[in-house]
Amino acid sequence: MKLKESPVLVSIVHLVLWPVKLLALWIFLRGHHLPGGGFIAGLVMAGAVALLRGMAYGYEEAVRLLDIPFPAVLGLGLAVATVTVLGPALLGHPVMKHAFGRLSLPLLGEVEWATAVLFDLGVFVVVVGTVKAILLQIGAGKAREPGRPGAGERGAMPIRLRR
Amino acid sequence: MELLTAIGIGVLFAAGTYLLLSRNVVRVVLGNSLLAYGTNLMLLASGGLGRGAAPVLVEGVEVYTDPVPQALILTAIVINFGVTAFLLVLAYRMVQEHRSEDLAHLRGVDDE
Amino acid sequence: MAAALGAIVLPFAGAVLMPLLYRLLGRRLGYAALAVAVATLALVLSIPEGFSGTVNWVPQLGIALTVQADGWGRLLALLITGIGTLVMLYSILYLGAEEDLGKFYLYILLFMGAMLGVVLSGNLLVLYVFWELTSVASFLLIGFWYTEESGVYGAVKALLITVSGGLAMLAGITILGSIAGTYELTALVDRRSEVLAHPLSGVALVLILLGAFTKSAQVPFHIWLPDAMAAPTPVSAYLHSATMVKAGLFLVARLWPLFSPHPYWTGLVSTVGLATMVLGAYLALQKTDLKAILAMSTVSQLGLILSLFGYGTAEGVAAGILHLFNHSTFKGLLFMVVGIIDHMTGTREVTRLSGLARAMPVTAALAAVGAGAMAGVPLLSGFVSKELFLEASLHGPLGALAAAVGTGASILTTTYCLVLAHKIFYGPETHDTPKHPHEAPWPMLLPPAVLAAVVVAVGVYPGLVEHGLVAPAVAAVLGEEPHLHLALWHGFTPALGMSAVALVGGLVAYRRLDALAALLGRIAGSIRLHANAVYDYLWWREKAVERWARAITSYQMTGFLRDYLVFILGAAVLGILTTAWMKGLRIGELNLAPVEPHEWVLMGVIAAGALTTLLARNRLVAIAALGITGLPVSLYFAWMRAPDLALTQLVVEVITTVLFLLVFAHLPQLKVDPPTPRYRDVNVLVAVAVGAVAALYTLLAAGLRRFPPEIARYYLENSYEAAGGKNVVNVILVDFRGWDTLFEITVLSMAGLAVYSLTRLGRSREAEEARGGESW
Repeated sequence: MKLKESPVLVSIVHLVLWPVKLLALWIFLRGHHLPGGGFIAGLVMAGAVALLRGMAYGYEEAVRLLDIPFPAVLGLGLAVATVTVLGPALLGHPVMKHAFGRLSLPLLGEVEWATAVLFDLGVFVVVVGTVKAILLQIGAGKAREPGRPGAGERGAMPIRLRR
Repeated sequence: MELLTAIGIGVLFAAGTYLLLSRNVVRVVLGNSLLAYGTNLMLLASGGLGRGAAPVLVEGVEVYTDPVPQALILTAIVINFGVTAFLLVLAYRMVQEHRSEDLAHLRGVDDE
Repeated sequence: MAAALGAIVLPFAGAVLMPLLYRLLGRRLGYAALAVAVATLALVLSIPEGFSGTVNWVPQLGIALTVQADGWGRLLALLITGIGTLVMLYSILYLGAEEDLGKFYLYILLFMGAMLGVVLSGNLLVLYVFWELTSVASFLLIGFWYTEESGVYGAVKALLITVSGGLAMLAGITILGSIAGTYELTALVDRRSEVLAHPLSGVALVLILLGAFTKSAQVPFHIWLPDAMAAPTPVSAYLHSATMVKAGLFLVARLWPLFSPHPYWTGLVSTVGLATMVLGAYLALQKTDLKAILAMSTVSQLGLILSLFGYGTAEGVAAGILHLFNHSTFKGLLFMVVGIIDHMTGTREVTRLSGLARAMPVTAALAAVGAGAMAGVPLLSGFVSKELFLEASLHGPLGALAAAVGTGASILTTTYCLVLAHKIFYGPETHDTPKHPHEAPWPMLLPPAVLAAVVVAVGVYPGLVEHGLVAPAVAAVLGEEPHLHLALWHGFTPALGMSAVALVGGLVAYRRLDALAALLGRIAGSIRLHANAVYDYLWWREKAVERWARAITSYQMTGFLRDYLVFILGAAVLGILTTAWMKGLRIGELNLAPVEPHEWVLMGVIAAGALTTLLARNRLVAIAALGITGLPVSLYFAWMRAPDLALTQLVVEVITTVLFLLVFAHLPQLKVDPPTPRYRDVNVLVAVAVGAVAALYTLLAAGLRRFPPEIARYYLENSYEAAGGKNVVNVILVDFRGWDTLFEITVLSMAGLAVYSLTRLGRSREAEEARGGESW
């Protein structure tokens, strides 16, 4: 994983990145009726994007490129999920009550909708945020290998041993 | 099949536990992952193995496998991923700070 | 209700105010405490007789603040507040200005409130809470002079012994409560036959009695009371003779209606009581410190009263209650007298005191009244109750034996009473004392004088307390109207003869005190095992308990992850095996599905991967092996009709492997000391056991009923109709069990944030160091 900024690799990553994102979206949307859903889609999305970018640019660079505040992303996802959970209560329904139905749209024809998908969206966002944060942070942390000045020479923290 | 699964689960648990008891912090994290596999398989096995179709509703199919353990396991896999990542970083920081991956060196100091 | 609750709350409220008032009033703080005590006394007096009322406290646990002010509780409440008032008055002069009065009165009022809580509570759990509070107050008061070693020693000893007993009692109360389904005293008595028939009732009884015996300083727990004498004398008079040590007796009588028919009752209660009575009297004669003599005589008298409750007869209860009242008055009086002597002469040593009567005539008279009552001299209160004691003993289940023991102990009692009333006051005047003796000022003499007046009045005319106080108390314990006939003269009864023997015998023994002391000394020298030595070994000098605790703790708490896991996993293995065995779980009919070849392959790869991970010497190999183990797990999920799981597992597997590689591929492989054989053997044993139990557990689960089919059926049937989704697993996650998922992603977020901050923490510190900042 020391392949940094190889132009070929960057191009390939760019090519692959969008199909992967679409794949994740597809997995997410089909989740209500077929295998898939927020968890898997989030994992695919975050895993692929973070790994590919990390490979292409190196993780420190990727962290800088993707300079989004992870805590905020997590908060956003949790907020979406919480709102869909508590929202029905504001409308006089039991908490967590989901609605669903069918809808005719001009171009797409008959489309199903379900508010449960909104909750799943919250899950998706949280998973994406967490996994991306973990991967990129760990990846970037890795770049500071021991042996580099400032890291390796540093004395260990004193530990007092037992008799 | 149940017997074979049970033996496989036993092996996973035994190997995971042995790693968990190790002094080496990396092996502890590895052991945790093996234990997670074993636990997930155990949950699935306790729901009954291989009877009926996957719990995705299809017209005309009457018998499905139990979806409850599957939902539990799905949750467990994702949580375990978070925990593993956390443990990894913790272990990594430990090695960085103390120049040691030996947990026996990390004992607290006696209160006397 | 207001009066009863007020009586409990007021002392607490007053206690809290004491340290504040101390700044305002200084030396005169005692008067404020006195006012609180008087007001509480008034409240107690205004509680209607036989009152009971309930305030719900913790209804979920069946704990209600039930006030039960029947005759028995009221009698004790009256003693607590009445003697409390006198003690406050007495302490005003007793305690010097240099003492921390704010603390003293805080503690003593705290005690008063707690003690009232004990005697007025109708709920055993509430009673227990107040009970322990009195132990705490006692601890604080014994250790009031905490710079003295004796104060610390006595305080710790009293606390450890009484609280240990209290814990046993709590266990007993809990057993009792679970037998009867209630902690309310009246309800418990109603279910007496049910309780007594239960096989655990004996255990409950023994445990509760342990609490009562430790509190009332019964053998072999009597050892804390003499050391409690390190407290200021007003405290000794109040807590350690008149009230707190009566709590155990109070409880025994409270439980009398419930437990007195129990086969253990007489054997436990009366035997311990009589033994304590004899031992206390014997020990009292060996002491030369006046307070120590009084402490031992208190032990002896408490034993006397206890034995009376143990007989299980109405006569015994009546005699016990009357003597409890009398003892509180005359012993409080005697302690106050000893306090005066100590104050005025500077010493409490019998050997250094003689002929004090000339200088302190009033004190001498008061001492004579108190000691006379204790010895059972006619026309003093003790005579009446001692007669009753001897008579009840004779008629009780132990018969002549108890009467003989009682008479023997009474001879010793008379002897030490003569030491108290005669030896130090008469004979040649001494000039050996640190201070020149003179009579105490009248405010200090007033409280003991009041008590002396009570002693004389009751002695001359027992009817004075019969109808108002004693009869209702006896009735409350017995549950029926007693046939009391308190009188000075019952005719020439055996009891009168025994009383005469006790008095004359004591007099004779006193005449030959030196010979008696020598004899007792020889007996003492031949005794090898002392309860005090046991206590000192366990708690004080050798601190054995502390050493054991430390040894056990350092054995488990090694600070080494592996050791904790060995304990946890070992316990889990044993727990599961025991449960399976006790429940008779068998591996049921296994409707085994046939094993197909690729299943062999899957499981083979899983096992091989796990073992490779285990055995790999190289870290990269181990990580790769872990990934290889994960893939067949994912395939297995797919094969077992769990497509969602298979997908998720696959993706997670890839990401996790990459994480492992990212983190550790570039760290140097550090050496770990090779394990010792024993260390490895234990690990292998635990690992194999866990694996075996996991396999067994899987088979058990497969043989048993699985997840209840109704749940699965409900989800399958309602997934589309109610939630509009065909992927049932997904619908469970986002809809049916959405709450769980919400919390799950919260946990996941926390893990992510932890990783985020941990890595950033490392980075920012490094940056700081690079800038030349200080490393910590």
